[in-house]
Amino acid sequence: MALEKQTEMTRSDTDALLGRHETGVLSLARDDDPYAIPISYGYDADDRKFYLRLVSTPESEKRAFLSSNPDARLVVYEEDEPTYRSVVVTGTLVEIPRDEMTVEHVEQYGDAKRPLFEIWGESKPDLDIQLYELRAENVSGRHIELSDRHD
Amino acid sequence: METGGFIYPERAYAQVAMSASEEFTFVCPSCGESMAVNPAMRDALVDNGCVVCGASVTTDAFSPVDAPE
Ligand SMILES: [Zn+2]
Repeated sequence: MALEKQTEMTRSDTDALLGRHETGVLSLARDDDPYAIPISYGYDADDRKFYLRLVSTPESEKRAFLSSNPDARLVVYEEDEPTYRSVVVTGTLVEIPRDEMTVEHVEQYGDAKRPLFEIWGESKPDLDIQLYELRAENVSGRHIELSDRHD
Repeated sequence: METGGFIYPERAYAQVAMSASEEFTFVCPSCGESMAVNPAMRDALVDNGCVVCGASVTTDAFSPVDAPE
């Protein structure tokens, strides 16, 4: 599998990819421990913000990682042979307090997908659903075309 | 929690609307979340669903808050 070419994606291509997907892998770090979870998101291309709903329990590992506006990395990729694209977002994950919820937030979360990877069960009132914004500081996309070989 | 101090124009608008018009209590029938909202927020929740859990919301989920004594 020789790499034919690898190119940087343009901003509009990157935004388009992030817009047509709704899931990715979010990675957080705390000291030397990595933590990665599949998440679903809504994406605001104008502000380069991601809107996430995360479910955690007070004792959970996830909560510990979320506790301090951590630096975060989000990876979204797609494969559509012979084209492979990946976008890596770095930024800060910030919780949106309930009492600071705005009309804009409601609209953004209306576009966001439900937490497809989260367990909801029958007892939603017992779950602690927290709303987060991932404020992108850097977004980079790569586009790889594999060579077309017929051997 | 610290959110950086940035004030959204929408938030400023919402605060103006809040003080100028009646308030409602929103209770999501699906996740049980409850919050005080103004009419603009109520409309947004009915249009977009519960901000917390994503479930559909009707006007039945809102009750008027009595004026303060
Ligand atoms: Zn709800």
